[in-house]
Amino acid sequence: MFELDLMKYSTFFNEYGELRLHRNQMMYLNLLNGDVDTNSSNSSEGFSVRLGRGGIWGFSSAAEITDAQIKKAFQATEDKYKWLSGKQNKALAPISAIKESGNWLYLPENTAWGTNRKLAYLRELDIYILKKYPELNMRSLTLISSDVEKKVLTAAGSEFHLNRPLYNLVISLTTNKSGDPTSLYDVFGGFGFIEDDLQPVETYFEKIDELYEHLMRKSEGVYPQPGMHDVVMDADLAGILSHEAIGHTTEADLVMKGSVAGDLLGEKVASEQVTLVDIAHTYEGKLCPVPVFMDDEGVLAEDVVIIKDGILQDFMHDRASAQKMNMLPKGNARAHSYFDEPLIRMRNTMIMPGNSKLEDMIAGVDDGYYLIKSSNGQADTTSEFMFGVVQGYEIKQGKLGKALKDTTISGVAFDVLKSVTAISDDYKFNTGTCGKKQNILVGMGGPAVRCRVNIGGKA
Amino acid sequence: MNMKELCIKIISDLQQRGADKVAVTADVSQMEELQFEFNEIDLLRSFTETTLYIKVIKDNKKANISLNQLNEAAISKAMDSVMADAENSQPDPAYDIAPWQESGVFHLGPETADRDRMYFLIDTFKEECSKKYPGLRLEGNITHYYSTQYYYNSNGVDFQQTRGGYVYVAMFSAREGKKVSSFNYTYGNYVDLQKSYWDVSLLQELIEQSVGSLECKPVPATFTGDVILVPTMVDEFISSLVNTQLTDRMIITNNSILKGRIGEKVLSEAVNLSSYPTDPDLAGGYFVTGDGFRSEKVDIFSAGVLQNYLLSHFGSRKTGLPMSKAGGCFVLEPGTDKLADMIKGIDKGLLVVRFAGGNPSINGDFSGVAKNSFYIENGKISYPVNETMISGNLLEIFKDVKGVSSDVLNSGNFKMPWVRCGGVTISS
Repeated sequence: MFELDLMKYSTFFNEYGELRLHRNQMMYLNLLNGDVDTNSSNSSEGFSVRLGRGGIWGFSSAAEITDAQIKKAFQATEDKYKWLSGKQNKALAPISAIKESGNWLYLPENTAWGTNRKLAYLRELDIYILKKYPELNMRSLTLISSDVEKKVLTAAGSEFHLNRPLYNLVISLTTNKSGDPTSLYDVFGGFGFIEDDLQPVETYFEKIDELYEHLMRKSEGVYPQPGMHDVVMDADLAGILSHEAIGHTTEADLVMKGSVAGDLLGEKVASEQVTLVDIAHTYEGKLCPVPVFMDDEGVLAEDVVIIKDGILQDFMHDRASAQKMNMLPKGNARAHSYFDEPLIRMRNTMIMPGNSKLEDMIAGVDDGYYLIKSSNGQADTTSEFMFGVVQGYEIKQGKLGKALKDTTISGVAFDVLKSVTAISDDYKFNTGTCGKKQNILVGMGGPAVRCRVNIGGKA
Repeated sequence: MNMKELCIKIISDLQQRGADKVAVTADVSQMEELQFEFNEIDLLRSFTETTLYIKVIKDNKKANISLNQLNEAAISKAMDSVMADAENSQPDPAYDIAPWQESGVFHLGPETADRDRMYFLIDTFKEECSKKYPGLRLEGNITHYYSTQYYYNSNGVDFQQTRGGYVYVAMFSAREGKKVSSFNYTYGNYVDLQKSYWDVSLLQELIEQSVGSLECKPVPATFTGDVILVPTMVDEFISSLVNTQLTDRMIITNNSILKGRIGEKVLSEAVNLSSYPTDPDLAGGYFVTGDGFRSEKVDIFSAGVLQNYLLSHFGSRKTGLPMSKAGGCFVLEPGTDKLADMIKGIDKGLLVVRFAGGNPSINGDFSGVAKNSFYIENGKISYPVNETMISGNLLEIFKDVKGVSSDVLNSGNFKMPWVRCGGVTISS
């Protein structure tokens, strides 16, 4: 853990800014058809200094965290800021900031697992799959941990120390049963440590059986009919809908760059059933997958209610954008690595649960699709979004039909949200990686949502 | 202690701890980024770092570790950790390190960032842009990079490669009143700062397209037809085909639809593709592969005939098939067609400029949204489209190539012409 007392550098800030110590540690263990394909661990740590005003910044970073390096970095950063601001002949407003502080240090309760124990765990899963489903072409089992430690001091005197663990188990199966290779995967885990929070191996046998059943049906699946359709999106897709379709268009930097959402504050943008929140850290008393208690600009994190009862209420900010737009920052500024600058990022974005039952929502569709799992996604300034769908089924007269091959769905976010006719009363969270300049972990989730979208397919 | 001495010492220390084979790479990198957004040059960011990548094999068991702390305690802890990880793993005789090769030192590109020139290029570009296209929302950066990788292993491999250069990035969308275009972006990777921003990878043309795309509509009906892929799209689609079907994972697990088809004509004879990391025209190339081999040009498709897989050293030993000392840096040979003639030949189709799609299926199926793209009707560009999806199969569309342009775009990371392909479902 970082022991360095940062307060001794509090007098070094001649402008608004932050000093951040930052460590990312990652472990990746993959068993591919019973063989160890990857057995690696990576550690990257260092510090950064950012100084500026009016949204103009100097930024320096170094891996070696020593008093001499930090002092050198303060001087180099001030020089950069002065060089840059000196070339721009205009008054720059100082960034306002208030003082906050806190420590959120999550540490493992049990002894760390060595490679042998992690491997034995994966091997047990692999043997289960091999014995029960020997005809599969590919079995891929991956255990990943991704832990972050940050210690931040801001010019305003805000200070925090965070240690946040995260782990995932990824199970991926591939069949060539129909002569056309088909694969499907599932991801488990979230906030926590492998040694404390990974479930007993038997817990996943039933999940593997379910995954296999879906894979078999997918291998005999059909292409969807391309065009506009009624769909029920399960939690996984509702999460990526919240993140890609709405979340990105309401990040203040994208708003200032011309996002269509910039003109819609206070307006009805969705069905009144829709309330969409970027949750800082806790929902219904439980920690979300990527809890943010204080952001990298020293802002105490709170939930951002983006849409309430269908009305666009708020944008996500860093300090500079909030000041420019005369709004409040609520803890959305995060950096991925010590050498990255904080950007406006989502945390745990979800549509709030409604009061419908999933089975009733499916029963209410005459001719459409039930979409269960997504892959990647992308947003646009126009609010047109897309994401890949790797698991889904036809709905015919209110009943599930044939499985779908991989496809892509798209829509104009606010049009899709206006088409929402039902939201389920349950929810799930997942983790994902958002690639806005820096790849960073985010939480996504929500209930199932019934709406209308455009589906790609074959004519 | 210099990097060579440090790497050699780590190899020696790990051998003393019982390692059979060790490979160590030290990556010494520096970067300086000048960023602009909101019509301001708003960030000057720098970064220097040395990262050690250590690979250990003991009793045919392997582990990797990387770290960026170079003090004695951190390195010693990493060596303990990687040895324990290897000892506790399971054996595979396919694990290995690169054999001895003649040593080499390779160097290309400037060490020091020309910060004033970077500022001048950005400032000039954004001022000209704001005058010419007042509604354009523009952001981007020029980043200078300079990195040296030192490769050593217990077989005596001794390589040093240095690459320096500048990457220009621009991202933009047009806005007029409440009308907004889709965002688009482009980049170029060059060894110097000679180019003005306007000359970077079709940027001027792309900006003009955005400004002219404030009013879009979907294609009139769903149909199967031809698309013209711009060079960035050709690289995206053909890279996707190669990287999913011809690399380790899919070949090892027998899931590739191209495995066992070396020497067979699998694509159109118009497709001549190589991976050419040592192409002197590609600033983003490399001289040494990640697994410690001197890189070389590898032909992948010649007149549509599959020539080679892109297997790593491990993939090769695992399958018994030849390895390729390449990857990425794709070069597709130009054809003889003019873009205007390629468009003239299409009754109903799409000029695909950007693609937002799901990851392709392992059988090569793809689908996604055609962004910043244009409907072609009766041999002419008709109008910019929105809410239009395209789907097909990567193998099938490159079997059905109906034209390859004589003009080529060199982004610094690839060289690609425009390509006309058939068999794509276009829907709205």
